[in-house]
Amino acid sequence: MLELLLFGLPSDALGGLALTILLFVVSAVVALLLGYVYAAAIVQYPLFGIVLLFISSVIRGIPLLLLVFIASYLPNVSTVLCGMLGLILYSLSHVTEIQRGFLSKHPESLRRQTRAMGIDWFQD
Amino acid sequence: MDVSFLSIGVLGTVAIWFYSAFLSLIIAVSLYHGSLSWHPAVFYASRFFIQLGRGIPTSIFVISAGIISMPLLPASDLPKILPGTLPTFQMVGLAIIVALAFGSAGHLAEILLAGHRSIGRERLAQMQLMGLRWVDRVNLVFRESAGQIMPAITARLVHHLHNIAFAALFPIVELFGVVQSGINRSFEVVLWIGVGVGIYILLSVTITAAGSALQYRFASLRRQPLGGIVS
Repeated sequence: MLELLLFGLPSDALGGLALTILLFVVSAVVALLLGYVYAAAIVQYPLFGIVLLFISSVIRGIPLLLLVFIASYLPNVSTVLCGMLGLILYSLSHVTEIQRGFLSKHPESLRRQTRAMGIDWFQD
Repeated sequence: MDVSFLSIGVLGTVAIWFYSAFLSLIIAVSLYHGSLSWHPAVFYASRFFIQLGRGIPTSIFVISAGIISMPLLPASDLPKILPGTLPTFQMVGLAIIVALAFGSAGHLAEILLAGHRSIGRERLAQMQLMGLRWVDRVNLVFRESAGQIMPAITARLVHHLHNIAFAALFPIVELFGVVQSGINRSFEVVLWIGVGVGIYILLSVTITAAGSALQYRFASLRRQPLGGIVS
């Protein structure tokens, strides 16, 4: 019984634990990747960044529950995808600010210097 | 759109936020003080409650509090502190306020501890050598570290506001529940969602602005001589 609740049946809907892990991993990875692109865009194009900053500030002001609720009104979207979309948007709005802060503290010139010193992107 | 229905929802959210945030700050200061205690029982109990509060989702706390307090109905002698909520559900509302407070207290206590550590061991030792009372020490630590901790406390209090939406799982009147009911009653999805989003953003901005004002205020007080801060 507990196993079914946690992991679900094969070829059926996922159980609670499996679904939680899936939602966490997907939303975290997507939010981190999109957040990096977003932060790079803001640092690179400051004027365009104002619009992006406004959008992320607006999303940060909306509760996660309301974001999922709004996503549930999208046509032809499954419940799991609605939850995932809400989580991605919510995580993205928080992660981007942290990544923007990181990128603005490490400007392009500094990154070029580290590459010239033989430090790759991952080590950087 | 039923404006009076909406305004009661906003009032309910503001009331729940105010009571639970206030209680949460009191619990957080207690847990912060307990985490600095030399007494092992106090120290480990405080650390345990901080980890418990941070590790368990607030939704679980709210659902548990609601289910546990349901059989306690009705509590007609209780003061009616939640606008719009039926008198018979005031006890459930109170239990949810406590659950919400406990859900944020662990995070706030960790922020206060981070602020405490940012001051440095030497300056903390100076405070003790000066013979300051516990209240004055907490006051001084808070003002010294306000620049570092106020943005984090403000962000947590905005998150706390968003957590209040979980109260809609029970017959407690607050904004998220009102938006849901408004859509079910009128089928005006975009209108109700738009208004709900707008009010949530407005409330979040108000909390952030108040946090920034307090940060500025504490930062300016920090520049005063010690006699101006400690009575």
